[in-house]
Amino acid sequence: MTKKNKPQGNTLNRARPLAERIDESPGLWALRELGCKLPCRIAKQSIHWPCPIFSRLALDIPDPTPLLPTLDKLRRNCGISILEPEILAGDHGSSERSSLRLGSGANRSLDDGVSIHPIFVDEPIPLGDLMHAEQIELQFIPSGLHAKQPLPTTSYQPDRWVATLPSDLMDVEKMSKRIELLRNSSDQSTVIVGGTIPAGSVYDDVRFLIDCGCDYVNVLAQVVAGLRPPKSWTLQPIDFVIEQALGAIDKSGVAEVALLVCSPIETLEDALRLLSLGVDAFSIDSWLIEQQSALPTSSQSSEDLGSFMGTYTRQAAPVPAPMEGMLAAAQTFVQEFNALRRLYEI
Amino acid sequence: MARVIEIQVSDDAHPARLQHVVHDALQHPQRLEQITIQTVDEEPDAIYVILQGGYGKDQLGAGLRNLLKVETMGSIGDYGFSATSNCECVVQGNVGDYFGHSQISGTLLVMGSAGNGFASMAQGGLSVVLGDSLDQSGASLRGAAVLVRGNVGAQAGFRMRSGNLVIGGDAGPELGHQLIGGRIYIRGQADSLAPDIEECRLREPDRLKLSLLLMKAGIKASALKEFRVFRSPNEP
Repeated sequence: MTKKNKPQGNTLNRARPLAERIDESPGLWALRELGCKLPCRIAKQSIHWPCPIFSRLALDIPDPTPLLPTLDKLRRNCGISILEPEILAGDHGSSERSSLRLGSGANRSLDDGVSIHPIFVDEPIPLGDLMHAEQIELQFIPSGLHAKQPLPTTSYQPDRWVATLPSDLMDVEKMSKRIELLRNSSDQSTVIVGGTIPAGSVYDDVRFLIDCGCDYVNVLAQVVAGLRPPKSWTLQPIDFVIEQALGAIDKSGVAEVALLVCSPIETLEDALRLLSLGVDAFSIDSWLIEQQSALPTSSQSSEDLGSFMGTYTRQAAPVPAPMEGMLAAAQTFVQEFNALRRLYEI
Repeated sequence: MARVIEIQVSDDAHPARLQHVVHDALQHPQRLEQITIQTVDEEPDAIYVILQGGYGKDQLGAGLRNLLKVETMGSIGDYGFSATSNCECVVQGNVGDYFGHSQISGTLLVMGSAGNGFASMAQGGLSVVLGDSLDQSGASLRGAAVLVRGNVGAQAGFRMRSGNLVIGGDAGPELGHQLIGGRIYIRGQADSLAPDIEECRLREPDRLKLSLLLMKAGIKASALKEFRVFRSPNEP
């Protein structure tokens, strides 16, 4: 299905009548793969994601270290692709580089989500970390490593997502050579290189990324800035972002460029609507932080009881740790999302 | 035993994947016909790589690490030896744009001249050009030392954050444009100085640092007093 003939609007999220399926074998759609494929423009091959969902939490919140094991489980159990900075990869219990760990491009199971290597465009390129990389995502935002003022511990400010360019590059051709360098630094046969831009001047920025040679474009319409307390910034309305980005992809003449978005998701219907509008994959971060804030904490779960003999506290049913609760909620979300995709054939 | 690996850079393997070729050669020397591994008695456990061919190719030797010495016998293209760590690399010719980009450590030596953006974003180590270098040498430098024996083009030290840029000859216009930190040492004249830098006194630690860098590059340090030092005016 190309971008042009994808169904537009939420109204087309409806199941196909049985009469139209009369010539199909029963259960055909139930067996169909629900993943998403991101094509590589150079190798003319695709990389397979088990589900069209990804998370940028490890990159976008100030201190993601406690969250990393949960994100790793999300990748393995739910097939959600994760952006994992190499700086943090060695910090959560393993001294190995994440590119050399099980699950990286060298020996990843097909049911695992992809470990995406983020590269900040205005920072030195860590080529050694990309040895087995399957997917590399250029971040056209500041890394925050050289900020003059210390960053707040709970959440980032919106200027964290100001669009930025490599300070040492002068034209598109040199940017495309740098992308070629990244693509060739891995030993994988198919390496996908994408670009992340904040939703500012969406049309022009998407055209720029396509001209640079990116295989996919990730537009940040909403970013998660903090986990506790939950904080997010909406940069542009999602409908406008998708319209502009798809228009830029259509006008570029490069059909195989995929579109990823980070947008507010409150319900499963929001997620399905994104796919209906022509998005190839979306971020689950806004939904995750909503779940994390909605989970009962240990203080809320206890119950104060009083009588003439005094007061005491009765512990309610055991409550899962917030991270585990988030993992369970995400698993349910993915199962229900896949079921609805089968129903609506999206 | 040191190991000497002679690699014929062919069209089959991309020049940016030399690290994988070296890695494979060390693990399975019998598989690759174009690689010969000899052993010499000096420098135990070190690896010496000689690159044959690949002249004019882009991205040659990108990401190489932990090699005693890598030597290529001709000129190479853009992004040559970028992001290398703990390697001593010698190019017996000219190099294209962004040679030594994001270098982490080690030494890079170019016997000829370099293109634009020489050693840009280099984080550590020493990059030396014995000839001239074009525009934006040492752009966005992050702590490495860059030495150009000849002249440099426009905007040398562009957006430099830390490190040292030593220019043995003259500089083009806008030297130190948008410089934030670090030092620029220049022996000749600059066409124009950016407002982001100011001249400061060449002190004894500067002289020591300069003489050490020149010595590492194999250049006589006889005219240290002729150098001038520039830094950011905002630096304390």
